[in-house]
Amino acid sequence: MRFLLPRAIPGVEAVASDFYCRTICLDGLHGMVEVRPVEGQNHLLAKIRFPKVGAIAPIVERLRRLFDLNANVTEIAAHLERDPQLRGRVAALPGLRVPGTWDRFELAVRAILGQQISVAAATKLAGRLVEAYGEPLNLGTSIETSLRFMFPKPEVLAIADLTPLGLTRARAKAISSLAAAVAEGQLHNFSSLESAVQTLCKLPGVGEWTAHYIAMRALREPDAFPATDLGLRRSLSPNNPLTKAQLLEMAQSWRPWRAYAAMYLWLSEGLADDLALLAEGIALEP
Amino acid sequence: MKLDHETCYRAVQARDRRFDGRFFTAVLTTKIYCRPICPAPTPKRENCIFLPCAAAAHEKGFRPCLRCRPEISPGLFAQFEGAAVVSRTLNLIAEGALDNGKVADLAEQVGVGDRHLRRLFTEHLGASPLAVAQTRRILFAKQLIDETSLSMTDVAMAAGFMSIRRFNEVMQKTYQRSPANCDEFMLQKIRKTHLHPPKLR
Repeated sequence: MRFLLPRAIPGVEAVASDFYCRTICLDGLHGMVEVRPVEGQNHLLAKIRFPKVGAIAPIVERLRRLFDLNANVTEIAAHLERDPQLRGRVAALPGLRVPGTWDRFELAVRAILGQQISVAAATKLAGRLVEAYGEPLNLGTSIETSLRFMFPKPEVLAIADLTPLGLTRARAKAISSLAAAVAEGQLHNFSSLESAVQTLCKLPGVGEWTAHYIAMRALREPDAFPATDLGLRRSLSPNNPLTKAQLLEMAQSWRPWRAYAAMYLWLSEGLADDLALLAEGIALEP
Repeated sequence: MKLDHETCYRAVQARDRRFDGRFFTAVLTTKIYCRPICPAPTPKRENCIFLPCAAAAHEKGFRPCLRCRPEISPGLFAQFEGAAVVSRTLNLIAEGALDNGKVADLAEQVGVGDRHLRRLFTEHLGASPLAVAQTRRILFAKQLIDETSLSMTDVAMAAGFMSIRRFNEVMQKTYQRSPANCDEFMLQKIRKTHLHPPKLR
């Protein structure tokens, strides 16, 4: 939750320390889901509002994916603990998972919006984008909610002019080409992490960092690792950031779970005071 | 990690939670399969076989235990390390790829041949893709029956069954009782007082 909280898209998602709520769209139908941890129990409780009951199974599966509930956290922690540099961080955040996403396209757009600007600024941009191009939520009944929109569809963003929203020309172009590629079904299945990263990098405005970030959160690749990330390079030597090559070499021993190692490094950076909250929000041992 | 018979048996004896979801114990004498943490008395060593997934147990004709409830086991359809294609396919099945689709189309989506995919499934899971999809429907339906207030018709639809008749038939065959009685059994067993939305594990 600590990770999802500042990244929530206004109008689409609502996140609190013990609560995640969002609008969903499946086969053209609109709905809402609400997920919260159960105190003292090792599971999450989901409330699903959706017009078609047959959709429950795929919705539950996508929620499991969003909260990374299929991960074998014990084994991952045991593996990462072997590295003395990670041991303390792993112990501080037992059962950490890699947050996924409800919708891959949504996350990819978020990743591009977030390039070189702060998380807060990116969130503001995402909110504007949703308000301008998202379909209004239609549940049939009216309920009190701040969640009023669906995330915009790829077909819509592919032809939209995004520069008036405050995006740079390059960023706007990156998003529309990504949207076009998704609308054409180009970014659906990848046989490996390498091929996914390669395909993503071919899109304008998508570099190695963005590609790995998308692979990690949207494609659920447990070994994705944005090695060029400054936060990661700094986390192991604060005064003198490692080079990409040095970091990659160090990360060899974290395979095949480098994405989890990245989460540990990111979260132990600057979030130390919120550890208790974080452990509550994300550490959901099944 | 490779799991041999001895390791599994010791894990079952200790009801070791760390092994929960890693394998299932199928008991030859009762034809029931359990999670490693099942509170029932540990069966004799020679009566146990250990299977990598629930679908393998279903395919061999074992029924899910009503006490440890394999349907809520963690890692029920988790990733299998070292077999990326299998993991990817499991994800697609989980999203309902085989509720209407064919195995051949699924194989194409993950970039392997139909027969190769079946072979990989047999090798890693001991069950065919169709059996995995069917097991998933059965176990999800069971979970919905126990934990939600949905009607049986809604449960059948939600779990991805094509018809009520098919749902009744499959549940009867698996649990040796009608779907409504599965619920009845749980009611008596845990004296549940109120109904819950589905839990994610």
